[in-house]
Amino acid sequence: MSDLNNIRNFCIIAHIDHGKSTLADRLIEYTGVVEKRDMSSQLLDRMDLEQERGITIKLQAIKMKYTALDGKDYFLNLIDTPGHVDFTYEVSRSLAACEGALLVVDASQGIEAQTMANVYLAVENNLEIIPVINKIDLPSAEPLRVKYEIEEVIGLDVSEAILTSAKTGEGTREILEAIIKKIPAPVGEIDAPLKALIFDSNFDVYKGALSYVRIMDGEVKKGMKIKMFSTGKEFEVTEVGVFEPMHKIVEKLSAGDVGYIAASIKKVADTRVGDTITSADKPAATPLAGYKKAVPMVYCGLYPIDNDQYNDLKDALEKLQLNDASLLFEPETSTALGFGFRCGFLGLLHMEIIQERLEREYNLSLITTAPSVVFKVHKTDGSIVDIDSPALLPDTKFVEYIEEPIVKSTIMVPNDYVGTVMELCQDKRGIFVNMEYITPIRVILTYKLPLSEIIYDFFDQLKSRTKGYASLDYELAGHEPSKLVKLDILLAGEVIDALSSIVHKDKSYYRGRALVSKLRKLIPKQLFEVPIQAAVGSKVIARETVKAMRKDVLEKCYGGDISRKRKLLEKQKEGKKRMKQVGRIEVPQEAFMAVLRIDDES
Amino acid sequence: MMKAKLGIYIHIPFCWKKCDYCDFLSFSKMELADQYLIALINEIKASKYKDYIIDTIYFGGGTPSAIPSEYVRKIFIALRESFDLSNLNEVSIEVNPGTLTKEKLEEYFDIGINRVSIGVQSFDSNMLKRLGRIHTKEKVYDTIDLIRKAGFENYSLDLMYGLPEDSLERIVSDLSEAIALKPKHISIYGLIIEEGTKFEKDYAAGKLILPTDEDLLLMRHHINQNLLIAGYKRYEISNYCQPGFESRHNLIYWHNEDYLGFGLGSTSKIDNCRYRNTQVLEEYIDIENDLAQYDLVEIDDNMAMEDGIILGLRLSKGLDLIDFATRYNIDIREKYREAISELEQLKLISLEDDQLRLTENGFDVANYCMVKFLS
Repeated sequence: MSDLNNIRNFCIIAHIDHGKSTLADRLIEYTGVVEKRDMSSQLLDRMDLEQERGITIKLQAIKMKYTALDGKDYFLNLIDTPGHVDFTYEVSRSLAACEGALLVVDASQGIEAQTMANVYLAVENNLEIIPVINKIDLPSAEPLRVKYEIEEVIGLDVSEAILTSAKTGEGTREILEAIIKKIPAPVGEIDAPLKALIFDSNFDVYKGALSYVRIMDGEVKKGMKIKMFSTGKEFEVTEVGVFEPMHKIVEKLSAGDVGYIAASIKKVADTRVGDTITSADKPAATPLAGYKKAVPMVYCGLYPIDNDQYNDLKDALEKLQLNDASLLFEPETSTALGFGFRCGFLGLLHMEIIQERLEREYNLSLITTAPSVVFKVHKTDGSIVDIDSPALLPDTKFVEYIEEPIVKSTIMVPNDYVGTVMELCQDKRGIFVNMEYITPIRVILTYKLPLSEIIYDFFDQLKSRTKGYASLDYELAGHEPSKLVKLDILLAGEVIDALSSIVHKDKSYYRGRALVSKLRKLIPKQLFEVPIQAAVGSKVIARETVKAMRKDVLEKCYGGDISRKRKLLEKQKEGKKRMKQVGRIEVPQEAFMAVLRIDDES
Repeated sequence: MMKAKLGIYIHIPFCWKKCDYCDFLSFSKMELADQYLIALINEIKASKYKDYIIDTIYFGGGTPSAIPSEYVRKIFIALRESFDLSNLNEVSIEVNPGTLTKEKLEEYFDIGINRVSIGVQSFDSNMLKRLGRIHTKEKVYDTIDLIRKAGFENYSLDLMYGLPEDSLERIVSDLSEAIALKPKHISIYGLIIEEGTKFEKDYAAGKLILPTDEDLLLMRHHINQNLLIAGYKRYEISNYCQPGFESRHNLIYWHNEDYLGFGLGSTSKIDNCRYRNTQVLEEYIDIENDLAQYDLVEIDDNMAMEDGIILGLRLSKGLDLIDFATRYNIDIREKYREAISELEQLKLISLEDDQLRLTENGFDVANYCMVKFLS
């Protein structure tokens, strides 16, 4: 068994594209856990979607064995962290299971807002941080400038920062040595009662819900009775193992180790992330400090295009939830769309990913309604209700006032773009908080912004207006009263609940007009004329018309070639499958998200 | 065993010049016509479907009249040697007015061709030029005169509408000239901008001004009315005829019956299969090559039925549901109850006396209606 002194637990903090996964692969390769020929590139990002988008969504862990220059063998547990703002919560989970972190910064890009936020989290968790400057092989690399930034912004000592190129492998050994020398070995008592922190869970069809744990004290092995601190539920351990990176059964996990516990747990809810596992026979007195539950910030409706797929959608959501506790859903009914689900997500990316997985992995055709934040509606009777769907907003006569969620956002940007970004923030109802020069050419802007503006198109706008140079991080900063109204859309005179949105009063007129014009382009001609109207209350503020389809016929003789005729009709049929029948009108999928994209062409 | 009936299509992929709107399989490589003839006759002789009684033969193209008429005779002889032609009811040939002579027509008549389909397209010489046609309006009149003199009574005129800068006036004028010539049959096709044509390039460059859907609809309605008054009933979406002069060969397609296609790119439907010949001329004429079947589709019961519907609904008389039930073993009324009732409410389809057919409004949006019957 491994001595605590021979174990190092660490994670990697990096911005998207700064080379985290490639670096992890180099470490894995160097320590030889995985044969080179078995390495698909970016081993840690296992989902297709992760590899395609080049992001990490789901936590992964891996155990490596490294023979250091001092001649001793060490076991290194790398716990991967997602790099997107939506998944800050997951980052905090991996941090709590480690003693140290590699801070990976791109040698030409420098520090980004997101990285900064995660480093602060790591510092709060008392992690030892090793600065690693990556991509030094690039001609545009400026390691000195980046070092200076890290020192200025985060206040880390960069005198021993490691220069590396994950692409060429340069610096890999230096990193491994630094992990051994700088990151403290875990402390824990093997003889004390078991305390294991659940940092993730995963559902296995054969073994049930697996708890991914960091053992803080004691040990756990097959046959042992364990107890969940939060629920008091008891289970018998059927298997313990480590990540190599595939599950490998071991005899036991002891203090300092990272691994998984299988105990025939049927529901993932019974192995709550952040909970402490202890021994049922010899329980610890107090649990470990857990984490706050992840709170969904963005809600949207998910509806099957074909009503017959409702149960399939339900099954698929349940399956996804098994491995993603932050996904919330409950049944919802829309007059326009029929039966579906109101789903809560950590952010827009999380929402897109879930939607894409449902369509790809479960072969569902879905309508996603425009995302909404959670408003606090103060009613005239003194009660306060949380509203996550525009359709549920009470009639104005019962509403005293509405509060919307506000975020504190940190934007890092080259000084050339400060004006542009300030203008954008102003435009998005932002309130200036602070501006700070971290270097003569890089600025941190802090603004208070309505979350609804962030999920609307803020991020896209920020990226396009700064040519991709700005980075954004935000955290929820309470609710504030705001002048909000419900913007309804009527098709052929009927309010389509799924197209309603809650918008700021001053913007309702512009949004209404833009949305109506966008919908006119998206909704195909029907057999009859379809008026599209935008209304606030009973007042119509914009109107356009989709002309009736008059002619749709193949007036040509292709001889006996029916294949050609069929192809044409089948293509038409395919198009229809992406349409939702709303009353008499066929509305395409994209129309329900149009509210997000009305600025595309302006 | 009673021998089944069959239509035969012969493809002649040659044109003296390709028209600007055309995307049919045709070339102006006239120098390859000899080799083509050999390959075509080989294909006919090698057919494994010789036990059928042939009902119709159709020479299409390209321009069948672009090649010497003795070639047509040789093809016909090959057919006669390979198939039972004793019950032949219709032999059609497509002709371009720019390619005909008295001798050619006399030879066609002599071979046994009894129907001529003339690619007129328009009686407006400016428009003919615009379309890239090789003939003038005068040539059309001369040709029809020759056709009559050669002894043909059954001839059809092909016209087009929805052309660049088209007008109702031009169409009405075309129609009155066509009617005055008293053809038994008239086909009127709407212009489609097809991929790879000169028109496609011009259209993309904004050089073609085409009528709107509303204009087109008005034009089609005028066409229907004018022809009806003149004694031509619309029996298919784009086809009109005097009573009893439907294109028998084309009816085989619309009735979803079997046919064999010979020649470059021709399609066949037989033995519950569809397939096509190669579309590469050099491959087709290389007689060292065994002819491969491309795009082979086995037609299952469902596809057969759907084909039957989407083809049958192109006809004015529509589908005979009793006949349909016997043939495909399916009750359309039952299977498509919802679709039929929806289309009926919209007055796009009518179901009377066991006959399911698109209404005139239904024809205007035929694709919309047909899609409802596809699985």
